Amino acid sequence: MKILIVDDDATNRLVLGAYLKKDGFNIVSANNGQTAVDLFQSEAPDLILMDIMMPVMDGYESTIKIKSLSGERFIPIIFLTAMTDENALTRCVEVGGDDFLTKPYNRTILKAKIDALERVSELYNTNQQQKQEIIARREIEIQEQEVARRVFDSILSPGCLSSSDNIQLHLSPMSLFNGDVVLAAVKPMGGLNILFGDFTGHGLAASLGALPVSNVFYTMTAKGYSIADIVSEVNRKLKSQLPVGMFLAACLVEIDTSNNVIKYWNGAIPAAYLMQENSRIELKSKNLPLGILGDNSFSNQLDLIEIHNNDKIVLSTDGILEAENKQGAMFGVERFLECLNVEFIKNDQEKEKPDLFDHILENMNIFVDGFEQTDDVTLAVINCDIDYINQLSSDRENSKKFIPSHWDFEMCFYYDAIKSVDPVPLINQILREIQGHRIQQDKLSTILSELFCNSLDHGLLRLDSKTKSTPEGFMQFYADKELRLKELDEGFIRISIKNTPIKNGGDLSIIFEDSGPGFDTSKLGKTNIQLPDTDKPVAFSGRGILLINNYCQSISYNEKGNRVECVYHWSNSDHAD
Amino acid sequence: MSANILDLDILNELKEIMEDDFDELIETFILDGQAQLDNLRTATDAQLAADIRSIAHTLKGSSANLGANALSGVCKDLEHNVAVDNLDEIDESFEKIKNEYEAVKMALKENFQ
Repeated sequence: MKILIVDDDATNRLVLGAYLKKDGFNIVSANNGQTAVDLFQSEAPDLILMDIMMPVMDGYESTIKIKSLSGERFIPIIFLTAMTDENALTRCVEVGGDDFLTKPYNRTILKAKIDALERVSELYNTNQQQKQEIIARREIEIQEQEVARRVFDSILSPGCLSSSDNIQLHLSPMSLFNGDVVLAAVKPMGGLNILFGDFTGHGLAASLGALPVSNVFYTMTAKGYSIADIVSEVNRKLKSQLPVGMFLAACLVEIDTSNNVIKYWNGAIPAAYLMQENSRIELKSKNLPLGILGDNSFSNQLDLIEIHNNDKIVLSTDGILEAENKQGAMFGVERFLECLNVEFIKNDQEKEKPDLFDHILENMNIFVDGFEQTDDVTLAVINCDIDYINQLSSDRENSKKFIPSHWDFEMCFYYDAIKSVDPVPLINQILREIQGHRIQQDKLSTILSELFCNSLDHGLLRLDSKTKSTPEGFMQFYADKELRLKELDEGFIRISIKNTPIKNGGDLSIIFEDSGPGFDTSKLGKTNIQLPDTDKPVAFSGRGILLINNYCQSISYNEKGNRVECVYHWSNSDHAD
Repeated sequence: MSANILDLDILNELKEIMEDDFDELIETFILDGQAQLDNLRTATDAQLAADIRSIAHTLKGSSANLGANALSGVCKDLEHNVAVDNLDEIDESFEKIKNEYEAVKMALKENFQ
C-alpha cells in the first residue's frame, strides 16, 4: 500500500514517514498541495495524509482536486491538523476529507486509522467493481434483448397489422418486451382474423408465450381454419407450454366480409366493444383466459353479430382501465365508456367528430398526467371497412399469379382418421397451393363442408336429417352425432377432385363417396332437388343440399346414393361466377 | 533538563523506529527551526500577521512531533494572539520562542549528537 504524505514541514514528513515505513507502507512525500496533485497522478497512492496550511496550494484545494481526479476509485484522505477550530474541521469534511489526525502524531492511532480506512476503501472499491460489472452485464443484456426483440418482431409481424389502414394500434410496453400481443391476418378466402391478448405479467417472460400463439394463429389462418379452431389450438398449446399461473387473456375476432358478420370469442379481455352507428355492443367475455382449461372443459363456441360497413371494434387490455394517476385513482370502465360515446356524435354538427382511437388515448393521457404506469397499455381500434378488407385479401392474391391447370387427386379417410381429421381445411390448402386463393372464395369451402357433412352424417353415421327440423331435434341430432362418431369402427369417405381448366378458371369436379348404404335417390331430381317437408315453417335440415345446388353447375348421385358428384365453376377474374 | 523542554520518551521511540535516519531528523529540525526563526524575525519586524501566524503554526506542529512541548506551547500562544489580532506582545513572544528553541537545540545536541 502506497501512502502520500503532504506537509510543508520537513520534520513532520520525516516523523510520519518513519512511522509508516516501520509499518510496511511505501511512502511518497509532497511539500505543498500542487505537488500532491501531481504526485497523485504519477504515483497513484492508495491513501493520502494531508496537511492544511501549506504554501502554493493548501490542503483544502488539493483535496478537492484529488477527489475530482479519483473517479470511481476511493482514495481516503486523512487531514493532519493541530486545529480544534470547528469551522476548519467542517471545511475538511466539506472538501472530501475522510478522517483527521491531530499533532503530535501518535503511531498507534495513525496505524488504526489507516487500517480502518483501508477496509472502507476495499469495501468501496469492491462495491464499485461489482457495480461496473453489473452495468456492463446490463448493457450486454439490453443488447441481447434488442436482438431478441428484432427476431421476436419478425416472428410476430407476418400478418397485416402494420400494413392495414383499418387497424389503429397503440402498444406501450413497460419494458423492451411486451406482455400484450396483437395479431391480425387476412383470411385466404377473404375477411380478417384478429387476436388481441394480454399475458399475465409483463416483460420478456410474459412475451415469450406470444411465439407459439402467433405461430398457431398465422399458420391456421393461412390454412383457412376458423377462429373457433384457432382458439382451441392456441389454448391447447398454451396449456401444455406455459408454466402454471401464466395464461393469456384474449379476444379473437373474425370479420367475415362475405356474410357481413363478426364472429368472436372472448376470454377475459375486459374491454371489447363493437361500435355501431347508434349503439354499443359489448363483446362479452364468457370464457376463462387461454392456457387454463383442458380440451374437455374448454369451449370454443363463437358469438355472431351482424355488422355494417365501418362499424368499429374496440379492444383494450386492463392496462388502460387500470391506468393510474398520481392520486392512485384508476381510469376505469366509466371513463372508457364515456370515451366511446364520442362515436355517436353526428358529423353534421358544427364540431367535427374526433377520431375514436385518438380520443381514448388522449383522455387516458390527460387522466394519468405523466404518472408512470405499471402495466402494458394496449388499445386497438379496427374499422370494419368491408371493401378495404376485401381489397387486402385480393392484394395478397395478386402477388402470385396462378394459371388454371390440369390436375386431380383422391383422398380416402377411414373411420379412425375421420374422428381426428377435418378434411375440409386440408383440401382447401391443397387447392390453394395449386391454384391460389381465388379458387376458393367462400362458396367452395361451404360446398366441401356440406358434402363432407352429408357423407359423414347420413352415409357413415346414418343420422336422419329430418330430426333436425325442430330446435329440440336439432340438439338431439348433434348429441347423436357425437356419440355415433365416437363409436364408429368401420367405413370410409373417399374424396376425388379434378380440375379441367377453361379460360380464366376451371370446372372442378368434386366427388364424395362413402361406405354407407346410400339413400333412395329417386326422391331427388337430378338437378332439381325437392326438400322433404318444405312446408314446415322451421326447416333446419336440407339447407346444405340447397346451397350446393345453388352454387354448383350440376349435382348428381349414383343409383345407390352413396356417391355424389358436383361440378363447380371457378374463375380467376374479379367477378367470379 | 526539564521534561518540558524535551520529551525523551518520544525521541527515544523515534530513534528506535528511524535508526540511521534519526540523525537526519534532528539535523533537519535544527536547521529548519533556525530558518523558521529567521523568517519569524522578519515577519514580526514587518508586523505581517498572516506570515507570523503561519510560521508559528508550522513550528508548533513540528516541535510537538519531536516532544519539544514548551516550544510548541509558546508557538501556540503566539499563533493564538495573532489570530485574535493581539499584536502587542509579539516581540516578547519572539524572544520566548527563540529561547525555547535554543534550549531544545542544546538538549538535542546533548542527548543525541
